[in-house]
Amino acid sequence: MEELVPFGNSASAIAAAVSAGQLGVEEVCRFYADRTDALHGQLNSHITWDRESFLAEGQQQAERIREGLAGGQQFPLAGVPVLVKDNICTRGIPTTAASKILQNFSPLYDATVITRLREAGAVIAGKANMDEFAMGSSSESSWFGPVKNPWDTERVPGGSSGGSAAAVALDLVPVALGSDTGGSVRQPASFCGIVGMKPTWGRVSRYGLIAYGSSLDQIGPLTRNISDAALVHDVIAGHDSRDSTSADRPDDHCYADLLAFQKESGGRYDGFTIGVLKESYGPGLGGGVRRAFDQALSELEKSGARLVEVSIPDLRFAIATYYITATAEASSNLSRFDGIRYGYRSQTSGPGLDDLYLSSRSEGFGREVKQRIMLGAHVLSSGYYDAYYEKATHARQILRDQYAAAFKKADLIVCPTAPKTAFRLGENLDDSLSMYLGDIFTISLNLVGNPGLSLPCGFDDAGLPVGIQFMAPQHQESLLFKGAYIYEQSTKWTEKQRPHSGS
Amino acid sequence: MISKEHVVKTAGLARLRLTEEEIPHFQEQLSRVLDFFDQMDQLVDHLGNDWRGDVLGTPTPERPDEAVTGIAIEDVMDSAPQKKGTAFQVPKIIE
Repeated sequence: MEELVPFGNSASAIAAAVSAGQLGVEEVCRFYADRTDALHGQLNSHITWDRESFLAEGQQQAERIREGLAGGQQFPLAGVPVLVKDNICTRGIPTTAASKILQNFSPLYDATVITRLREAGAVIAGKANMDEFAMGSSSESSWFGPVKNPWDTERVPGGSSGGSAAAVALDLVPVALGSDTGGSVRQPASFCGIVGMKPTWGRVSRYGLIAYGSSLDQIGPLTRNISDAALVHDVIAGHDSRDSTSADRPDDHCYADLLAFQKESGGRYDGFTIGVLKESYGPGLGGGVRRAFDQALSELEKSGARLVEVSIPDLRFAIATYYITATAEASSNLSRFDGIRYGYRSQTSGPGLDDLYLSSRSEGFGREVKQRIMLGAHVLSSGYYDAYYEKATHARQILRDQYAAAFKKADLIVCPTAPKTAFRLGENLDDSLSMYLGDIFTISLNLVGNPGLSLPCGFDDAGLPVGIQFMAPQHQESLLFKGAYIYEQSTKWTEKQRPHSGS
Repeated sequence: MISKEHVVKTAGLARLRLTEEEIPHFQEQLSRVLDFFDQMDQLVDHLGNDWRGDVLGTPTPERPDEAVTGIAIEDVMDSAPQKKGTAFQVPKIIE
């Protein structure tokens, strides 16, 4: 492996070295600032990047960490730069959701995840480009232009957390945050050859996350390896009185559990039953993905896992169910953008309040956002509600029952993260339905609320990364990380190959 | 295929005004997605019409009733595109 980053290339290594006094936070920040300066333009991965304020925050954090360490405090992310998706509020740092309607918006408060990251010693390293309001699977719908995949800049990085994934893949940061409503952390992680994790719905506070589909949205980490994902997960997870939908349950210690497990397990799956999702082998599955996934299954077996077939018979309804539910929720969530209290206000509207709403929203929202709030308004409208929304809530319960039954047969379930690898920029831009169909393996987990993660499992013939998705029962994050860790260590795909751009 | 009138009506529900170029675009895209949604008719729904549920079944705890400092009104007003003192300025509502 090419040692791109002199101090170990992972959040846990940086935090350990900083905590031991072997490495300065300023040194870490300067290294990543130089890389970001040189390379973020190639990928268009950032919406806000301000070297000076990043370095200044690094200096502040360095002092806090020094004082805290002297007083016996611990900083699990000491000196770790974290890039934040631009739909997560950062006080005083513009937060646009990649939309014209919020292009000049600067939040008055930090999201809870930001507060928690800083308390853990992390340094916020700018804001990542994304699909507008997280609506998309390619990061092309951004008002700030499309993000590019570091493996092939003619291709998309996936989405909607495309900037977060591309930046981590090219080592512009060791960690990024994304949000996952239908796969928006896991699918770009898969397209960019890194790890992306969606916690159980309700595990991480959404206070300060710009809402898209509230019964589906969840914030999750994008990292280079499984242990870093566990480390960041533990920092951001936990109940928050400011988000009443965040689960009020004891803290997880996934990272500590994983360290203990590394010693006990000997890298073996003995005693693990892994369910292979039968519906993985649908007609849309690409050849390269299929080969890498089959290879992964034999690796799992070689490492001692017992493989069983599991089925979610109604999985084929997941895409329609998701797009009915998510657009309905989006049409309601995005009604708050009215051009009155903050954000873009039309300067050309006619007389009357209603005309100001119409003009501000029509000029401020992009095409995909308009499409989704119209779909949502349609499925909720009088005469259509029963046929769409009501039916979707039933389908959701049915899927939930089927997942519960499948998890009675297996500890974890695996499937490909996406049926195909990264597609070309513009390829699906005029065909939203075919873009939606690519979400088949990720969206069902948002519908049922379970945690899942994507990690690299090989490459297709074009040399593009393929991801495998591990899924776990609700609130079994610790088990999820352990299961994925054994596979990661037995194959080391995360370390085998790196993107070409800029290296 | 849904009609152009229906597209315009739905846009109105979403408080959007479409341009002449946007109407045929959304007419095609929305029609394709809505046709796809029709597959929901094939779902075998054993839950029945009376089933209602909180799909995620997660309790939503209340927070303690304690006074906390909010955001200062002046700071809030700084984000407003148009304001007068501590009021958001809007077009005339009552004639």
